[in-house]
Amino acid sequence: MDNYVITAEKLDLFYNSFQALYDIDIEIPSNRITALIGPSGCGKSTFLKTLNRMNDLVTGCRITGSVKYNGREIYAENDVSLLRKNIGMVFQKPNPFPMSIFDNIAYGPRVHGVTVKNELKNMVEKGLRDVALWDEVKDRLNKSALSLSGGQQQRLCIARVLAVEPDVILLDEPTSALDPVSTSRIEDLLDKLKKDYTIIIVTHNMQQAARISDNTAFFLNGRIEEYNQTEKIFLRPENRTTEEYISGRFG
Amino acid sequence: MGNNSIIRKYSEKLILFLIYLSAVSTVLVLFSIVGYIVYKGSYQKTSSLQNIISTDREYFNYGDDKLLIITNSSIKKKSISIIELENILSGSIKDWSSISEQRNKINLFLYDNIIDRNNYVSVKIIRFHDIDSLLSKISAVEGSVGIIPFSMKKEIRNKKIKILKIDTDCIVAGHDVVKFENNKKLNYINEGDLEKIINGEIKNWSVIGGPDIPIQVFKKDNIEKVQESRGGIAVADYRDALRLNADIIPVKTVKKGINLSLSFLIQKPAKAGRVGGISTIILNTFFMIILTLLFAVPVGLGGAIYLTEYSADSRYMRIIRLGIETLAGIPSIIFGLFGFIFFVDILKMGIGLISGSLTVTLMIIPVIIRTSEEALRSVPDSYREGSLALGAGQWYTIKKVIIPAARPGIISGIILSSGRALGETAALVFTMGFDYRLAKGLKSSARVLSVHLYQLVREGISFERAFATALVLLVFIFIINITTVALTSGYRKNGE
Repeated sequence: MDNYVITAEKLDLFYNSFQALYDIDIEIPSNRITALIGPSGCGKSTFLKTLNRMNDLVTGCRITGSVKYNGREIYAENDVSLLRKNIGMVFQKPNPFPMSIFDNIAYGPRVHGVTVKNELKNMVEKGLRDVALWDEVKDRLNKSALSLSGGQQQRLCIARVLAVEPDVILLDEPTSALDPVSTSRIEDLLDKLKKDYTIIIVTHNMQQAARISDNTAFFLNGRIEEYNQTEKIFLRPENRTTEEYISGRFG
Repeated sequence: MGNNSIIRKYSEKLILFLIYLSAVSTVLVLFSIVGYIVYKGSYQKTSSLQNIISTDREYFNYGDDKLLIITNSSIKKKSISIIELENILSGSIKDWSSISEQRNKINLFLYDNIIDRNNYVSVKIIRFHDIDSLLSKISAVEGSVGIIPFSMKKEIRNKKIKILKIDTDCIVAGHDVVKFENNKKLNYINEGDLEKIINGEIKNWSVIGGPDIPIQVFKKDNIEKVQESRGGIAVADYRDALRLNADIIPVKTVKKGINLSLSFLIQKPAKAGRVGGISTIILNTFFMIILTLLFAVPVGLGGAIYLTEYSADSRYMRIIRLGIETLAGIPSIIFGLFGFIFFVDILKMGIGLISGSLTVTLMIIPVIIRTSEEALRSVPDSYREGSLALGAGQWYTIKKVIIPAARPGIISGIILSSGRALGETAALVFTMGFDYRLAKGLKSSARVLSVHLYQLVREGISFERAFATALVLLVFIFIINITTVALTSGYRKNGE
């Protein structure tokens, strides 16, 4: 029996008068990788940003309906900081801060009040080990994070999220800016991480979704066309448009 | 068709040439201005007309006495003129500032009964009847002047005493030489020509711009003979020439040398900037800039942060932005007027550092806001998102990520605006005043470099000093620009 971490019911989202999401119903199980696929502009990233309220930054954005994290209404939450600590996010383009590798990882813990040097050191090491970056950078923790390669930077960004000990990790096309080798390293990493975290990943890459995810939701024009186990979506889609999309007939 | 394409081709070439020409001429104008200031500021060639000529003689005659002038060796001057000596004796020169640009007071010590005291009642003269005690007094007191009989020269053994040479002679000529005739007269003789006249190389006054009269050289002090002759000339004692009402011809001497010297930078100014240096003025300028930045940076940076990070793009914001742009374009004299009325008068701060700095603050805030805004805007949004997604608040994000990332741009903006403060003149004339002494407090009037330059030229005090000051200003501006360029290029390298 799956335990659902995130549940949305009749969720509509508007940017001013434009409606970006229609009637979203979804239940996302814990310790699974859930992939959100669909053509550009279909609302999958918008939905992802709804979950940690990054949409708050967009003026004129409002929602109706319900979206819950562990049974609590996300948009009724007062402590957005705590919400974002629990639901971390990794972006499309690696975005390490222009500071040292150490300070990048320690940034999140410091935000949440950790100041003890040793504690920070342990957190940095653990975060870097979790993303298999420790051996590559342990000798240059004080060097600028911008000196790392793109793939390393993205793993650093994942480690930065892990360091605040989240529950859910949202990834918005995390490998679209990376080369195939870096991509496969990150996919391996996600597979390992799902033991401890719930992972929601937006991807344009069908193979990636098929390779790593347990469940897949197909978004089209702001609606979820189909949501099911990944195997079923890719092998026996119930919906005609889903089949057309995954077989590459549009998108 | 063919014609058209030829015309098009040539008109394009013409336009290209004009564009090239305007670019080159801009650079040429820049180089000639900077080059001229650097030349005039570092090298000086000043000509002066003087009645007294330099003779390199140690003694002078006073009545029947042959006298020697000695000073404490702290005085840098090698010789003085008889006029300067008369002024010292009469008390109208009381310190060295007008003679050797030193600030020591002049104490006058005379030996026994030389030089009749009754002629000089207004000045305090101390007489010594014992030569040794006179000499030891002179060696002890900086700036002191002693007059002793020339015959006692051998008594001077102390190295702290030096002999001051005295120039007593002038050039007298026949009246016909200097009288105004045919719209011209001989105004002066060049130092070089004088030598040639005495040597007999120049034989007619017309050669050096005088009337067509042969030159007749007389022996020294033959003033009466010169007066009787048509084209006579002689070297004579200045005092005798005055007494006999002879026609004295000034000699034009040209002095070459370094204009902007180290002593100009480290000495205090005196006599409205005629003597001394600009050390206190440089310090005042720094005080003004530091105070100004102290006020302007927090406000300007705050404004920029509000505009980039907190405000939405609304009609209200557009009005604020337009206001900032307009403020940046207001002439500084208007800021000066406002500062004078508001800070000096209404707020009763008086003319001084604080009023001046606040006025310049108002001027440079728009500059700081605009440059900081640009720097903050160039920070990628992905940094903001990344930080917020980790649960950081907006202020924390600004403080820890955005400002550090924008720091080089912000700092170069601040440096650039301090350059504007450095060159400010009009706004400070009304609000900070002209006192060239070191500012003693926030309310004390303080002259800055640009105002000093303005005063030196406006009051006709010294163009040489004005150029030296201009060069100092230029060097500071140059340093500021280099720093800014270094910072911004470093920023571009680390930016991505």
